[in-house]
Amino acid sequence: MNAAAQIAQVKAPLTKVSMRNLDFFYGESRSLKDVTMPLYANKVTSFIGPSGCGKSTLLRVLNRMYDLYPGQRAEGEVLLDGENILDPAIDINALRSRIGMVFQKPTPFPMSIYENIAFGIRLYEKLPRADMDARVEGALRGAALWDEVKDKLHTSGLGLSGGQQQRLCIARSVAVQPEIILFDEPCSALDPISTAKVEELIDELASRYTIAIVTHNMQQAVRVSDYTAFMYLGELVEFGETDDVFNKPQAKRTLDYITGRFG
Amino acid sequence: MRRPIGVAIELLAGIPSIIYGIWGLFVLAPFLQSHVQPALISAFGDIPFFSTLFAGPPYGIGMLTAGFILAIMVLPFIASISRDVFETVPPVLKEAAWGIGATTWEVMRYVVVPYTRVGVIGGMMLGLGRALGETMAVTFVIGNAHKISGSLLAPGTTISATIANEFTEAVGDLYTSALIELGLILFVITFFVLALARYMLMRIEQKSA
Repeated sequence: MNAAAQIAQVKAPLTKVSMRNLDFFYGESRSLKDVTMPLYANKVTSFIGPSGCGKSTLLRVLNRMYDLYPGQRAEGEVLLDGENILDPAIDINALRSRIGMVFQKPTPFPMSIYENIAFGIRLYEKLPRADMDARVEGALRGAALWDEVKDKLHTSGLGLSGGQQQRLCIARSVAVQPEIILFDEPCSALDPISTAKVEELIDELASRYTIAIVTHNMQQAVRVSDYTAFMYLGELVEFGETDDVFNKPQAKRTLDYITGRFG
Repeated sequence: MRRPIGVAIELLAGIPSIIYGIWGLFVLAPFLQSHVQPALISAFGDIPFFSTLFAGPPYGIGMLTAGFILAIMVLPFIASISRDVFETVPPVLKEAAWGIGATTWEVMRYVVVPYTRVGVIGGMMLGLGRALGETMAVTFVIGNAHKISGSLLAPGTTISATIANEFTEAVGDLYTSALIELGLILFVITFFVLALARYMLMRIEQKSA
């Protein structure tokens, strides 16, 4: 193998998730139209587009959250490591443990900080106390929260500030050791300092996880993501490396959106 | 399934207690008399302590039947309150729990119930309050015997049942006064039980805050 081919191989990212001809329906209305795109392993992919364009819906398909609501259905294929996760026979709890999700508003569970993290771990593993402590600490460190909460691990998670709560939720997702983490506008309820911390964190997490992030903030998309998908009215208009999408967009609608002409 | 069951439970919670009483007398008591009580008597007959608890002939009516009727009456009430309280849990919180792979049972057990603990216990206290003061349903099936018996199958009476049964036939000031005194005792008991319940609720609220 010559050097050029080797470099090409290193540069070509692995596909973690591959969506093919994905359609989604809320009852009769079709909110995703024939979406075909990949999520690359260990890369951050951001989804931008005006409200109601299907970004959040797309995330909800990836962990099959829509399953909880009658009348919502997805068609097409979503391959996770080659396995179609839309298959009704798939173990949905196991799937969700592989795909973590962080929501727009922080959602700490009504229990102590420690328990918030340990809860997810206990669902799958029975760990001795010391190992559990280590895992909780590791997850909190991973979410850059350990130093702020190490003295009050056994107080309620609801007592933390908004930014801390959001990082607690990230720690909770990380603790389950997922392969993919989905962020649904994780910073829209946070102040700029907390936002910066969460963005830094996303950056670090990308080395270990595949990340998809929905955001309304285009600067954020530029800052955190390697790839960007622009969606409009349920269609995937453009997908490519973030630099390309923002600097030389192929589609006129993308250009109009990122230059603020509509949205 | 969710709607019809919810509506059915709310209907059950709204049935007047006297209807439960009549149903208890004509349906539940004969059923217990012929099926459940003989089985209890023969099952616990040889075990000390339990043999006294389940001693005596199966009358059908009695303290056990009254207990069943109260439970059947209060359960839909508690269930419908709990259901309303469960609806107040933000969907996103439940989704977060599902999102890390919890099953519906685990979501209920570890997220929904702790989140709504105060409300659910409050609902139970309301149910308890309703059961404590319940008169008619109990009067129908408890047997109205003025004696304290060691056996759950034996007839007995409650304060409110006694007042309801005997007020019309109370002759003389002393009889009437005695019944009113009973009323006062019932009031005091209820007051303390519900005060204790409120205190417990406060403790829980403080702990979770």
